[in-house]
Amino acid sequence: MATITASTRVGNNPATRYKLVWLGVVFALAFYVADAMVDVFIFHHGKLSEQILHPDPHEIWMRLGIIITALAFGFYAHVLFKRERACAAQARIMETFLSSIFDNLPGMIFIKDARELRFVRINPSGEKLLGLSRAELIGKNDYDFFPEAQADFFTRKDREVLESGTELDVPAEEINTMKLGKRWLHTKKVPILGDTGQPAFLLGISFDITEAKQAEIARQETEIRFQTLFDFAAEYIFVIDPEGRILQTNHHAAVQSGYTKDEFIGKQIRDFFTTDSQHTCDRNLPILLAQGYNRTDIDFVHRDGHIIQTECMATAIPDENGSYTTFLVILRDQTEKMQAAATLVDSERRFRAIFNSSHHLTGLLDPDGKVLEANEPVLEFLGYQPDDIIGKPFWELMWRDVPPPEQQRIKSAIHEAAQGKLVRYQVEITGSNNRTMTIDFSLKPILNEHGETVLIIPEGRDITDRIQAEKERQHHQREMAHVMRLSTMGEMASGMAHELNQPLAALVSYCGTAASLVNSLPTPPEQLGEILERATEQAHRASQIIRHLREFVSKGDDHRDPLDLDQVILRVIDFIKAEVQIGNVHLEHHPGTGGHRVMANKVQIEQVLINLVRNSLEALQGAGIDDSRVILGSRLLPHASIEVTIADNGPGIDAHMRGKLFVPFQTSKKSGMGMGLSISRTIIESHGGVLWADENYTGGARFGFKLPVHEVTNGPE
Amino acid sequence: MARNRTVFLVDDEQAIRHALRLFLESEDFTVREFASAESFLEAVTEAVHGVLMLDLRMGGMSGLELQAQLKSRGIEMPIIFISGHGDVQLSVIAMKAGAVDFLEKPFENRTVLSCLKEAFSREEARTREHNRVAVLEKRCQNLTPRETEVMKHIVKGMSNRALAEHLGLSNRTIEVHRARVMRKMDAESLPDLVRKVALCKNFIR
Repeated sequence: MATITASTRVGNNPATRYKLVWLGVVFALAFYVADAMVDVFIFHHGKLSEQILHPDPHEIWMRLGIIITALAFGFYAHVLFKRERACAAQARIMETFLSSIFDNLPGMIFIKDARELRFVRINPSGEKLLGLSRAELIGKNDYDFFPEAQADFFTRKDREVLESGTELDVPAEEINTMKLGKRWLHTKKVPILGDTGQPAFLLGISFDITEAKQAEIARQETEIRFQTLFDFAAEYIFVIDPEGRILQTNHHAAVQSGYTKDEFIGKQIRDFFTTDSQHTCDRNLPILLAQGYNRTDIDFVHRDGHIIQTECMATAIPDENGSYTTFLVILRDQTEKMQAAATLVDSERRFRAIFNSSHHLTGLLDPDGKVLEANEPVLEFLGYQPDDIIGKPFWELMWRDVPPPEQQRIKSAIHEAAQGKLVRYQVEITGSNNRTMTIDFSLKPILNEHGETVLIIPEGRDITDRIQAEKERQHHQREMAHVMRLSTMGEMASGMAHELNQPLAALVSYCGTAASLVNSLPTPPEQLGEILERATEQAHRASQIIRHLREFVSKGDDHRDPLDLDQVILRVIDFIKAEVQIGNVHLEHHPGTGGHRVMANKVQIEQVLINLVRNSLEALQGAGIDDSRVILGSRLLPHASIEVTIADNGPGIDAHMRGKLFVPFQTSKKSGMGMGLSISRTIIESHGGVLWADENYTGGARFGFKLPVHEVTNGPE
Repeated sequence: MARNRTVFLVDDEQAIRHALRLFLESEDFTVREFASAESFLEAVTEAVHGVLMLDLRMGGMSGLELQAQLKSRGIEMPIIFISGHGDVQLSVIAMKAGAVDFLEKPFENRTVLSCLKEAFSREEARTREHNRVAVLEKRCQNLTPRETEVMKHIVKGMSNRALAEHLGLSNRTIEVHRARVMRKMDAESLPDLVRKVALCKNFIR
């Protein structure tokens, strides 16, 4: 059965046929021998010889026929055999030929069986590529080597080829190999049909195209990058032909100009420029053609009509023959740059305005002392033009006639400033019109990040007025102190005169009465009258001496001016704050003169106020009051007089001082002569005013004085 | 010198008071002394007559204040200020306020005497004047209302005829009233009447 099946299936095979023929011959001969034996033993009962010796002619012919037929079959078999051998030899040659191609081809060739897609054959290139030996590969399928997903992919493709019966070209597929890593293959898959016409095998031919593929990927990436650059460069890029037609443009140009790319393509580039820029364009074209490069300013017109100022760079792109066939035109938007430039100019102008409008003399020096800048007040004060000054050494310029010691001083100051120190001193400078200023002069170094001096800012502040004011203040203070001393002495002398004149007056009176009594006697004792008269004279002399002393010391300045007492109070508060330790006492001023003035000696009134405020401050100090305050108030009284009050929240007036506050030499203070209130009262009374102490004022002491109004100004009342 | 001349001495200096009292009493003055302005104010009344010698500066109320106080109470007493030290400003104020004089310590007794003489003569004149006014006022009070009215118009210079017309009376009646006014006021002539009416101005007003 197996043989029959085999023959039916492989009947075409010459070798098989050859074997069948020989089988037929053998069978025929065997049949013949068997037939003869049957005849001998069955029909002739052992009479073999006779049969053989005396054969039946018919039988002879029959037997002869059989033998000839067998021989004919044998011959045929022999021919077949020979042919078969020749065929086999040829097939072997062919096989060798194909094998050598198969084995030596640089690409991978593999054969898989169609049923299970197992490798049947693979060439050395394939082994090398896959990194597996033939022995490892044969009989295995893709699932044995590749990840499932990849194996699925291969299998699907394989099946596709096998089912369709047509070949398949996979131009690029990626595989993971054992030794070479990821590789790109160009694979062709071909079905090989079996005897039945059904695909029996799958032939695969793969070429390793990894290098080419990588080069391609690289090229693509470059192109994408280039395209991106091209599209998103912050410039308008146009590629134009020699006639000026736009061949290509970038994304930026399209976005920024309001046009689409398509609207640009094929149009004249100059149509998008202003008329002026079109002329510029025409003028510059020959230059571009001659030099291959040109640069100019172009005003581009946005779709909405506004003008974009650009800087235009045009470059010719030569073809392989060296002639210019395309041009690259790049427009760079200058709006921001111009705005920045304008802002810079603006800022420069502003700083220069500050620089020049400063009242101070200032400028810039380099670390060697050379003048880089000088502001207008400097030029004006020194009477220079900028050119006279810039680049010159500072020490030769600061004064018109520079005294050598000053030159030396400023040189060393600049040297110090160059070391990074701030130098400052006070100096007097005489300017161009012989005006002398007192200057608070400083040199301020500007350091870079390494701590080196890169610039020096000289600055001169005119403190002439301040110095003058300071001098005046000091003068005023001296004057006040002087007046204070004088009036203290005057008051002392006055007090002494009062005290001494009392006993002297009594003395004079007693003497006078005594003299009268003596004279009324019938016989007056000799000389007694004269003695009493002398005594009286001496008393008068003592009084005169005191009077002279008092007149001598009270010869003060009694110049009077119309004064606004509120202003005097303000001045006194300033003076007190500057000169007296007021601790945490709060000085308040409630003005109320309404602009009305009194005719008074300013210094004397100031002195009264200072005396009174000082009394309050002294009372408050050490009194342990949290919210200590002295309130100075003024108000206009109905009968054309102004009242000033000085109230404090201190301990108030000592009980034992009541009634004698204004008596000279009476004091509750440890230090002090007890003259202040007495002097103050004298001053106020000499101005036709009244000074009083409010002894019943609760919660501190309150003093006040009244002075007659001098004139009525156009005040608010 | 007439007796009963009283000097009020206000000074806080005891020695001064004593010396002056000795002297003034030797000159036949009556002396009442006070150590302070306050104590004097308590004692003084309108009816008191005399001269005040007042110290300008004292503890407590000063001389000037006392002067003002007296004025406000209607006590018109001649004042001689005495001062320990001549203060021009204060003396001017004092004199303006009606002081008779201003004595600076130490002073001579005779200066005091002459000052007092002046003061008392002024005081006497004042008293006389005061008395005269009192007499005139008394006379004025004796006039009938009609006579008073007639007198007011006469001193303003109105003629009898105009007055008769103004008051709706006969000329004759006005003449009678006028004669009575002249007699009652003891006026010798029209100018005399005008002067007398001016003296008792309080009454007329």
